[in-house]
This record gives sequence, structure tokens and C-alpha cells, in this order.
Amino acid sequence: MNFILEILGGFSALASPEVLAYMVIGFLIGTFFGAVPGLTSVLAIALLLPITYSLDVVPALVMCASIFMSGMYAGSITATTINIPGAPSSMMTSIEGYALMKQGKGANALGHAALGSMIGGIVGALLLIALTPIAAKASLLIQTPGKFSLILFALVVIVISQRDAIAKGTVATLLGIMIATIGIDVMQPIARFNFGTETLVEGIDMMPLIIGTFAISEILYQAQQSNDPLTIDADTRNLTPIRRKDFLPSWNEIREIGFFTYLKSALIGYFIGVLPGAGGSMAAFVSYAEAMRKSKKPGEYGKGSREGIAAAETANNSMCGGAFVPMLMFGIPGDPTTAIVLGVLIINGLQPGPRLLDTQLDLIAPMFASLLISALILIPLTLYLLGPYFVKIVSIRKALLYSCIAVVALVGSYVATYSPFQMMLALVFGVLAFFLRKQNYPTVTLLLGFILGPDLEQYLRRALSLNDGNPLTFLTSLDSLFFLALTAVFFYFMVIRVPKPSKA
Amino acid sequence: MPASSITAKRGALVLPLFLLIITTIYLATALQIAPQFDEGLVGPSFVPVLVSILMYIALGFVFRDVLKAPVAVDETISEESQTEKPSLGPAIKIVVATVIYIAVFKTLGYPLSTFLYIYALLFFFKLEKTGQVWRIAYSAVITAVFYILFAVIFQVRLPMLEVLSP
Repeated sequence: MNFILEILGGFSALASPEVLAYMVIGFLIGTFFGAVPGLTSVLAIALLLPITYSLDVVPALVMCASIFMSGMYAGSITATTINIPGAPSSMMTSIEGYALMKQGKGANALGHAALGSMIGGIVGALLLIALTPIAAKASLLIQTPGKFSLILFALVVIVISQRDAIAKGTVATLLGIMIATIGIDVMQPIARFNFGTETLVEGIDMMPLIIGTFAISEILYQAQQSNDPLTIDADTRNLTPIRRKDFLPSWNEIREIGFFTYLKSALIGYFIGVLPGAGGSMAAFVSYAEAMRKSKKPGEYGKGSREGIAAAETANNSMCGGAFVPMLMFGIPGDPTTAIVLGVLIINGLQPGPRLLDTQLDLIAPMFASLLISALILIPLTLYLLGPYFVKIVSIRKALLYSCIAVVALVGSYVATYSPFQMMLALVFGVLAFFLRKQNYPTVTLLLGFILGPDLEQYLRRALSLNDGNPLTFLTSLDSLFFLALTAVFFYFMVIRVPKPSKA
Repeated sequence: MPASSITAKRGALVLPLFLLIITTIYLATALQIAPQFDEGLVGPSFVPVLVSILMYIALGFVFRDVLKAPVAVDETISEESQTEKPSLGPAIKIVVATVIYIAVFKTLGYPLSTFLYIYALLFFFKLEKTGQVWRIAYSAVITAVFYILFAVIFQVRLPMLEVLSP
């Protein structure tokens, strides 16, 4: 009962003009970053991170949630209008949406994408609210060896999700763990890897790593792609104009897609979101494939299937709610965006875990409310008000955009400690991430290794210390055994038994 | 094996080699960590040593993958790259400009250093079909917008040139 009251209190917090303004601004920022190819909601939240030092925790979290939701939805805009997904999770939408665009039905495709995103976002947010207390109770059952095995499970799943780059993913994860070991030891009051300098005694802050990995490396990456110096992409002058009245999907089209498709896609998206490292792309892909498998009109797929758009967009927005569960209850981010939201929590002194619901639900509840309101109201409202201008987003000049991002990233790094050292660290990590990206190393695993590394070390050492260094404790403790078995199952199905591509 | 694919393979080996060196330095430092109190095997150097060993193994797989990569793929890449070869030049210029920006950020203050930095970035990002006046105007506007965002809205104390400081 108390939980429900606190959640309702979260909705009333959104009635504050200041918090509401941050939610709307966050939504618009997320829409912009999600729609522009090359920019993502991850980058938007990374750039927001330094600003959270100057913000209260509620507006900061509300803004993060609305950026997350809108960024996931907005990827469908350029995917549909110019066939370039604004975010990787909209890859499937571009196949079907652009086909409809070429038939002069772009507005209808955008309408279906928005409707799917709205339904997915709502279901994901409701499931998050409903299942978080259960997850909190479950997390209380996990003891120290189990906590180690759970983090190990998360890291292994994150690495093996990088299908073609498992070795590189492992390298990036281990590099993240190595960076996290710099500074004071997790168990003893001694400094490690500071190489005699005082500046490294306190360790590496999460912010320069995030800014460097996601903002600076992106700037360097884009600078290298200098074939199109003027705009992000494309000549948009010859596209069919998009009219507001065409946005609304017809009832017949919705019935044809079917309520069950929406629901199934939302559930697929949510539970994929709960898995560490899976993210929106996997949610959209699995849901799209499942919808195609069960479709009454599979022949339409690839030629402008509204069902395909609905399945993909419902799933990737539903994923948003799912990704928050492991982050809030176990401190294990479900995807890169929630990894950065975790940073916002930590910066503001909030510790993920079951106690978060007991003691600080009043700070978290507005974030849940923001996810729901963003999906329910802001997605359709933004489409209606700004839809006809969406296509103009890609006309922005690359030079101006990335110059702005560079300033926000660097000055933002300075803001945290008023020290240029943080700016330099952000640059160093940016250069490192740039070269990692160039060689196809996944930088997301670097960040997750950095975030999860200290807990992994702490629980490993604590569990072994308590059992005289006997590693069998991880097999004799039931919760630990469960997660180790789960790791083995995932490894078997994702690495060993994965179908090999047939050689042409 | 064509010369271009040998160059591509060499390029792909540079990063793992760099990481190998970093790991070796890391491991050597880890082995020198003296614990404050005895925890048995699982002291402060336990995880770093374990991570280093795993890193060597993972890098071994990366080296194997690079060396076993089929030549045909490299040829395709090199053919494409002859027409659209991304150059490291702009990225290096941006890194140099950023290092200078960070170095003079406190001395020159936010307004002047940021203005010059943006002006340089606009140049590196090839805002070419715009005259000097526009480039200066864009630099000034962006500097001002983010000054308002950080200093006015979020009340962040940004460094100012001494003569401009109150």
C-alpha cells in the first residue's frame, strides 16, 4: 500500500512546473539525439551527467527517463524518412518504414512507430512499477557468493552478446575492470595503481570515462568520416511532405496487427531489457522476427509491413522499463543508457539495491512516472506537433553540432571537480575509445566492466575470505549455483550451440 | 598476400600490442602491492593478477583472430578504402586542439579559450562554405549559449580571463 502511495506521489512530483519542464526538455533532447544518425540517447544522457551535479536528483532522474524513452522512439524517425536509423534499435523499422515512405505512406509509418512505441513504453513502465517490489524481495535472498555469481553472469552475458567480437568484448570488459581497480582498494585502505601520483589515489571518476567513451570518441569518429562535411545526411528536398492528418493509424490497420502482437512484443522487449547488455536492438530484432514468424502476411515483410514496425517499436520501447529492474535492484545495468543513469544515482548518493525502495522511493518514483508519461503523452504529442518537421532534423550542420557536443563534454567534465585534470582524463578515454571503436571493440562492455568491476572484486574476495579461500563456496551456495548454472546455459545457447552461418 | 592487406593486419595488431604492454605494466605493478593486513590469497593484488591473466588469454584470441583473418576480406576493405579511406588527420588535429584548449582553459578563461576552440573545430569539421564572418559569429554564439547554460542557468563557476574577472 505504501509502495502504491509513493508511486502516486511520483506522479504528483511531475506536476511541479520545474520537474515537468525538465521532463519535456529531456524528451525533446532525447528526440533530437535519437533521430540524428550517429547521435544516441546514451550520448544525450552522458552529456547530461555533469549537469546533474547542479540539478536536484528528482529532475535529473526524470530527465534521464524521458531522454531514454524518447531516444528509443525517435530512432524510428530517420529510419522511416531517409532510411538511416537514428539509433541501432530502429534497424528493423527502417526496413519496413522506408518501404512505406517510398509508397508515399511515410506519415502512416511514423504513426504506427509512435503507436507501437507508446504501447511498448506504457507496458514496460507498468511492468517496471509492478515487478520492482518483487525483484527487491528476490534480491534480498542473494548472499555474497550469489552476488558475485550474479555479476559474473551479467558480465558474461554482456560479452557473449557481442556475437562476432567475443574476444574483443572480453578485452574491453577486462580493460574496464583494470581501470576500476585504480585508486583505493575495495577492502583495505591502500592505494593501488596510482603510480606515485596523488591525483589517482581517489581512483578514476565515472564521469570522464563516460564522457570520453561516448562523447569525445564520437567527435573523433565523426571527424574522421569527413565525406559529408556539411550535414548529417541526405538531400531531403524531394521527399513526400508529411501531413499531420496522416499520422493517425486507421482502426482496421491496428486490428490487422492485432492486440496480441503488441502485447507479445512488449513482453519480449521487457524481458530482453531485464537481461544485462541485451538492449533495444536485440529486443527489436527478436520481436520483429517473432512477429514475422507468426504473421498472417509474411510476404509483406521487407515491403512495408506495419506489423513489423509495430513489433519492433513496441519491443524497443518496452525494453526501457525492463532495463531499469537489474540496475535499480542489483546495480547491474541492463543497457548502456541505464549504466549512465546508474552514474546519476551514484553521483547523487543513491545506492542501488532493495533498500532503495524502502528509504528513497520518493526519489525514484518520479522517474517511473516520467517513463510512463513520456510514453503515454509525450510520444503522440511530439509526433503531432513536430512530426511534419522531423525530416528537417537531418539538415543540421555537422560542424556546428559536434562543436557544441565538444564544448558540453569538456566543460561538463570540468564542472565535476573544477579541475582541468578531469577534462584531460575525458580526452584520454575518448582517444582510447576511438581506437577501440575503429578496431571493432565494443566500448559498452568497457563501461560495464568499469561499473561492475569493484562489486565483482569485493564480493569475490569477501566470499573467499569468509570461506578460508575455498572456491567451492560458489558451488555450495544455492543462489550462486543458480547464477553459475544460468551463465552456463546462456553460454551454451549463445556461443556453443549458436547456428553457424552457412557458407555460400 | 597483397601489400594492402599486410598493412591492414599490421594496423589491427597495434592496439592489442599496446594493450599487451599496458597489461604487463599493470601486472608488474599488481605484484608489488603490499597489503595493509593479511587476507591470505585474496589480497589487494588477487583480482588485478587474475584480470591480467585473463587479459593475456583474451588478447591471445584477438591476435589469433587477426592473424587468421582471410585475405579476401582485407582486399575488399582496401579496395573500398582507396576511394573512401577515412583519414586520421582530422581526429589528430582535434585531439591537439583539445589538449591546447584544456591547457589554456583556466589561464585564458572560458570565453576566449572556448571561442578559439570552437573556431578551430568548425575549421576541422570543414564548415567551408561559410565565410569568416559567419564562422566567427557561430563561434561567438555557441560560446555564449553554453556560457548561459552553465554559468547562468546551472550556476557553475567558469574560469574567466583575469582582466575580465570581477
